[in-house]
Amino acid sequence: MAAGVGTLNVSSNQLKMAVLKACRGIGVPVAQAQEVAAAIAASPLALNKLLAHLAKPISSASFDFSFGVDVQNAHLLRDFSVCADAVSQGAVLVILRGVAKCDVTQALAQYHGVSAEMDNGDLHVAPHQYPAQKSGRCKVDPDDWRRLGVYAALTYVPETDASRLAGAGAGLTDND
Amino acid sequence: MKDAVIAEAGLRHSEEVMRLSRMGAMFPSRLSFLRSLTRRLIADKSNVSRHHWDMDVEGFGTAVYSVDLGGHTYSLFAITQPLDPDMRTDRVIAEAWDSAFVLYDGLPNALEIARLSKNAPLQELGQFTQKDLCLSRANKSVRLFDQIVTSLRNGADLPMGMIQDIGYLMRTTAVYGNGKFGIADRSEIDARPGLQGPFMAEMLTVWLIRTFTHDLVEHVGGGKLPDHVKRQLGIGNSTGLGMAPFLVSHPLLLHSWMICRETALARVRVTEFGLDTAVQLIDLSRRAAQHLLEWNIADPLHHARIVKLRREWAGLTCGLTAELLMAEGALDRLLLQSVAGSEDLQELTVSWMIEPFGDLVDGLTECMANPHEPTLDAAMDCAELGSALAVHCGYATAVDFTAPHATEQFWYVSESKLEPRIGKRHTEAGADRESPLDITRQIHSLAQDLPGHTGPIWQFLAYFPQHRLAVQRVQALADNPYSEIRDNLVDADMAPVDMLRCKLSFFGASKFDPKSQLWTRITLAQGAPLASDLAAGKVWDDWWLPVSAP
Repeated sequence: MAAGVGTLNVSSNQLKMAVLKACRGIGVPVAQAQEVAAAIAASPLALNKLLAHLAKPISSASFDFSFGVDVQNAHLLRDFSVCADAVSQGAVLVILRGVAKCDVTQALAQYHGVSAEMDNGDLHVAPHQYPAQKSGRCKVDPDDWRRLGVYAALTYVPETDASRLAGAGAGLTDND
Repeated sequence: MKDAVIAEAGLRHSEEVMRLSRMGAMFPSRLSFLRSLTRRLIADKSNVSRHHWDMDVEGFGTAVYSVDLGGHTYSLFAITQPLDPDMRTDRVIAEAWDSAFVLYDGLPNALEIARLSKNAPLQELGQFTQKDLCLSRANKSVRLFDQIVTSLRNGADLPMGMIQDIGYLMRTTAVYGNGKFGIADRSEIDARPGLQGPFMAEMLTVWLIRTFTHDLVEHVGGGKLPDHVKRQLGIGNSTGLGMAPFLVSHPLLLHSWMICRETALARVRVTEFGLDTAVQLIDLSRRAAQHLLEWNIADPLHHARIVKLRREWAGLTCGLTAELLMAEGALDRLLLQSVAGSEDLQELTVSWMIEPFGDLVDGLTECMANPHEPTLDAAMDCAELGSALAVHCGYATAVDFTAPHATEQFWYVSESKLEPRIGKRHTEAGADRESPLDITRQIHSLAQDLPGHTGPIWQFLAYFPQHRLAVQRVQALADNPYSEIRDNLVDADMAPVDMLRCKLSFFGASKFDPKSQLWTRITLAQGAPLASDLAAGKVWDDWWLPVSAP
């Protein structure tokens, strides 16, 4: 199903929270996950492409600061933030090696106020200005939503008898 | 903070204020959100109308109430249905309730009432639209509801003792807003007059539910309750761990709430006032004493605190005269005297002192909304961050996280019920999926990794991406000193109920009734004006700490 022609109507906050959990589920640090979530909430058409990034395993990236920032083995959802930071601090050449431009790179670029364009097979991040974004209610593909939920579920802890009885909040009976 | 007109030196220090034990001793005040809402309803001369009432003799059916606020019409849709007692639970995991509610944007037509009738009882599993602003559910206080119905049917005396002890006909087990389960995002309404403040839509929902419960018991009982009895009947709430993460996840909002309250206190401490205000303070001190006497709960530890507080309150306020209170610096001296007592005494004193000074403090409520979240100051260098850690984060860096008790607990979301829970890290599985509420530990970890690094912080974060959140939070502390709870939220001794009480006191809750360290029952809107009071112009903003009717 093409992105944006979905049938599930979700609130912006619902989408944001689901993306946040999904990113955390695959190991994206929480601050970066929050930034991805805000970016996707503002650009919900990027949800479908986000799933591909969520499927990629996270491993250590390597950074070379000799001529700006040159990132090898980047995971877009974790490492775009620091590239945007670098651009904001005047780094001229900021490159994510082997990362392709997609809806998610553009959503993140808009969120951070930078551009993200391909050059010689790598993603180059540079200063850019966008009009203010506003998140709102959106339609999503139900299958995308389900798949997002699978990643979000990676943050959930299976229940035990002990956790159900001792670890939860309010009481089991309300008949008083 | 837009209105910090008092120099920070006049505010209580964040190291003192933001401790869990003190947050767990807070009382409602005139800055609480329900108070702000009722002041707004009074100012708007809001009128509540019951547009729809389709109830059978047992009180099962649907109802719609509408109210105009700030130039908009909002409606409470209510549905009640029979509930097997086995299904009646306070837990957020419940699947059926005595009643379900939706705060609706506008006035629902028949088609919308049909939609809400189908979906509201399903709660989390229902399908909602941007017309649905809040979603809630409640169970009856069966003992009190049935007793009042019996009294009304028989023309017998009302059970005033039970009314005083319980204080509500129904208690909500959740009031959802801001886009949860597909309802409207807060951003859709947060610029509307009357709803700009924190949780205003939720408070409006709660206040209207209270109105509905009064009508429902009169309908089933076939008689009228006197207005003074209705005012005694607020709306209960049962709150568990689900509410706690909010304070950690919204640090700048927490700061705004806290600094408004501290600024109010700072203003009051140095203000001069006349005889009327002094007399009002004495009257309020007596009301507080009565409230404490009428606040009786089953939990022995928490009840012991109330008993001690009764003694302390008497010690602090007995013998007060208007002349003594009007002496220069009297309130400041009283506050300093309270420091010799418990944190319960100190925080009750704070709420009491603020109460008569609406002209001085009510404007602060306009500063309590804060949509912002911490962002990274990428220009900061590692040395600056190290200094910030040293200046602002001693509470975190001093913790010995190698000690097992310092990491004994962990927060998580359960897979089967999607509800927040707390586990024991060293004996239970699941810590690898921990919810990131361990901010103190994260700041501690940042402080461990930072030494030896130089240059801009964004380069440090390239190598240590896991510290980005901690860096943001430390940076935020410099300008927002009340943004962090200055305790270890995974320590063995951490009591979540302290976080719940802090947040609920800002809502305006009273009669805290903790059932364990994990959850509490409370009463909201007890003593608040009725919808009929608004209509009759019999309105007042004087219901701090509810007491039984004379």
